[in-house]
Amino acid sequence: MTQKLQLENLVNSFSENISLFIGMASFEKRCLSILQNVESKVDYCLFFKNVSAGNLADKALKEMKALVKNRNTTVELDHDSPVSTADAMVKIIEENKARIYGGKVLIDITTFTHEQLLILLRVLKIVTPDASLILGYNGAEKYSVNDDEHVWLSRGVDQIRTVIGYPGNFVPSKKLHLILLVGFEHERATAVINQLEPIRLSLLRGDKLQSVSTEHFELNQKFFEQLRNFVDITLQTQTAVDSSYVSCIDPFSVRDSILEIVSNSKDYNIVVCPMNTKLSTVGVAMAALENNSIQLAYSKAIEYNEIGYSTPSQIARLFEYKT
Amino acid sequence: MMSNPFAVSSPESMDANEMTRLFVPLSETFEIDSQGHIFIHGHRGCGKSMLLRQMTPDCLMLSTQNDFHKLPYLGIYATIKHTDLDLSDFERIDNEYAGLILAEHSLTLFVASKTLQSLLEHSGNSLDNTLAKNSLEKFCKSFVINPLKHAGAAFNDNEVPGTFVTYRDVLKNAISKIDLVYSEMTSYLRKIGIRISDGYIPYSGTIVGYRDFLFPLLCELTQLECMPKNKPVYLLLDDADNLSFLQTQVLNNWVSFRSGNKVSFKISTQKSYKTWRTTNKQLIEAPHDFKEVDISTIYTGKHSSEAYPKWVAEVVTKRLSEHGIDVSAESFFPADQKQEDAIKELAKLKIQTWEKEGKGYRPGDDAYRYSRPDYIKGLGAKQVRTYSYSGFKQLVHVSSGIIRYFLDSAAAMYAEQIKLVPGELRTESIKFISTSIQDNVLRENADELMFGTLDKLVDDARLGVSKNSTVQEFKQLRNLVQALGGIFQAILMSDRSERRVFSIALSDSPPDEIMRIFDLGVIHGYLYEGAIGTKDGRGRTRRYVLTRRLAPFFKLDPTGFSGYLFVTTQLLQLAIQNPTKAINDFEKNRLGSVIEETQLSLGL
Repeated sequence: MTQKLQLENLVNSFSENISLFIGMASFEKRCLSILQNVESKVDYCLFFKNVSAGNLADKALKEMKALVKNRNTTVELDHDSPVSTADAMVKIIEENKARIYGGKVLIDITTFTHEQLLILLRVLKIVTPDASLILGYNGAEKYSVNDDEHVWLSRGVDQIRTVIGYPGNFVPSKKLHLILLVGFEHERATAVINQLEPIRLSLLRGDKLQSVSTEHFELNQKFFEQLRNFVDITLQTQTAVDSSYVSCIDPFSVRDSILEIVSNSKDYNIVVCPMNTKLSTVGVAMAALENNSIQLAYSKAIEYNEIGYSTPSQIARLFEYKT
Repeated sequence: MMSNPFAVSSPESMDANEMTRLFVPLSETFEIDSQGHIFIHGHRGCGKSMLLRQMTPDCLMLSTQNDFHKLPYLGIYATIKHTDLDLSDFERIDNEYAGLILAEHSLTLFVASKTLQSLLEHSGNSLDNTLAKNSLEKFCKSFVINPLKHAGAAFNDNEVPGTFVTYRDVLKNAISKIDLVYSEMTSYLRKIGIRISDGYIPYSGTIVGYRDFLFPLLCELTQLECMPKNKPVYLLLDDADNLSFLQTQVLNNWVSFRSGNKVSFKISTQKSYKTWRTTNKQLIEAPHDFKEVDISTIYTGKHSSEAYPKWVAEVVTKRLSEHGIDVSAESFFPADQKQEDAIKELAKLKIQTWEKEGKGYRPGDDAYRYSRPDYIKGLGAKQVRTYSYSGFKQLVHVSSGIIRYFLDSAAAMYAEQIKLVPGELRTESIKFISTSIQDNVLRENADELMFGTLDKLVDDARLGVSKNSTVQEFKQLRNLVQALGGIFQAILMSDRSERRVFSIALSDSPPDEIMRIFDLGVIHGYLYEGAIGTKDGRGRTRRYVLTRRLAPFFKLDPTGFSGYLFVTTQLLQLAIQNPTKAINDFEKNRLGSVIEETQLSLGL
């Protein structure tokens, strides 16, 4: 169950101190939103930052560190190397085991890349099984704030790769069923379909009543239609394509939706590519952690709209997560 | 039934009837169906997968009207998808001996499983008899199940006689056993992909390889009476670029065994094959170890003017006919009649004035060569945008020898046209694509290629994605393409004797840094490379053809070319630095010289 709160009221939802806060420094200002509102109750912070992240992320990291003075450690991640990302996460989570088991942990999932969030959740399951965590998310008020006419969040596709820790249980004799959670990035989604050439394709778009906002739903709808057109016109028309709605705000509901689709697709190798909100990505991870046959894939963008990616909303969502 | 006649289906999911109805053989066979290993390179969409799929037994039986056991070879089709084998978790053991062993193990099992799967899916009803079932049962026991058990697999195989009713049960059972062993490996990967610090985990599952498992299995398959007996097995591996680096090295090991009389590999790549080295770092080379063909270039060469349009027309009419539309390709993609009439008038005029002013050997030469460029030129700088890129002939030329480019454009045009049909969509009601829709789609594609795609390449380099290329080199490629397009446009609008120029030839030897830009252009599909005779006729030199997909962007005549622009290093250096200045200097100083095709013994 997710809890919806005004950012300013966030601190009141923690009766005791937060022993460990985990966040990701990013070009998005949203990486600061939750921390700014709970820092008075945070004992220690673990900040991740991508080595290749630009000046905006550096600036954000400085601000994050300033908020919590010397109560923090920063770990640099290499976006180009999932293996070293996993190793770096394993090392730092092992070092913080006592904090995780001994107190309240809050992970701000907002600005992790989908891939790194998935890796982190797998690492937490391996290194700190049965731990109880709080996951927090600050939705965007608006996306692509610098370009109303041509809404874009990322451009180009560098690489499509499976997510380390989620190899699935592929067998050569089965055909491919791709489940794609459609977000606002039509090009990346198109590249995934093009590259994987699935025999069965499930397109999941945001449910209007389960979207971050009506504006987001409408935008999601627009990108979904573009993608659907692409599938209809240029791809394997013998691909069985189905589409349905999925929650953008409730990871538990996403988990259940994915598991249901998978249970009806036993004759296929399953790949899920989460491209919607990070809340839904957590739902995908929960499904894949529960059902090992699910392989996860990630489409890495070449360029992000760093200057105008998003503006923070005043809303946060919290939910309890068990590793 | 497909709703869009030009939508591209994956040959993997097409049945033999559909394959046979839609497949149009290429104009050259390259002897792909001869014994021996072969690599078939080609850009995405040039027809490689169709070619391989057509070599499977069900398609071959239909196309040759032969019985299964009389086929000249046993074709086993296996498409390699991006997420099949190249898993991120493998990177964990890339540099360990286990990585190499598991790369061979995974590829071996993958191909073995696909082999049995291909027999299930691509043999029609040929194995649906008791004799075949019994011999396959013995075969699977001896060459699949027992070897896996000897290698350490622990599974129950004590099926009582009569367990398997059909050959399909037999094959499915053997496939499930392979799948089980394969799953041991993915379970292992799940353990090692992310592991706690210093937690070395050895692999303790079953291990098989090519020599001890796959090769004997393949060789013995065609010893069965129910198979094409004593005939070679052709492993048709589609999209081998999707293998990991280590798996590619393993496949190269297999190719280096030169077992062509028993097992031949027919491997397709999209020109991104990761390495030609084996696991022992030995290079496999053509023609020593394998034969190599590039099918995306066959229709940009000598066949571009006749064989390719004929082939595309056949593909189009077959697809239209499948949808109940019985019209010719030319009728379905009509040209702008007013424009064509005006061009014909110009052609007539050329023929009439040939004796006095003619430049070609025959009146028809001038009419053919100059009427369309004259028409474009006559539109003037302001009106040239009104030139219509429409008509089957122009569409074919713009597709630059890659059928996928044609089909993708045609599919987009069809989708636009059908929007104009009121009420319920009825495929048969579309009898042609309007010239304006044809023109719009081709222009949009050209804009995307010039702006979108080239910008992305520059971004790739800027962000370090294209590891071997610097940002500067991609910017130089953009400049070079702009300069060449601009110069070709200037030539078309000039009063030169030969104005249909789409390619350059090098009159000297440019330095490596310029050649690197040309290589980039070829890799990314902006240029096609070939060779022609030098101006003095004493040797050969490189030639580069600009993709005609950019014709609408540069307002060029895509329907052919008759001349080459011989360029110097001086002009190229200017072109990659400052395209506008290169075009201006070319116009002012006549840098470079256009040589007519007929003056050289050319391959185009």
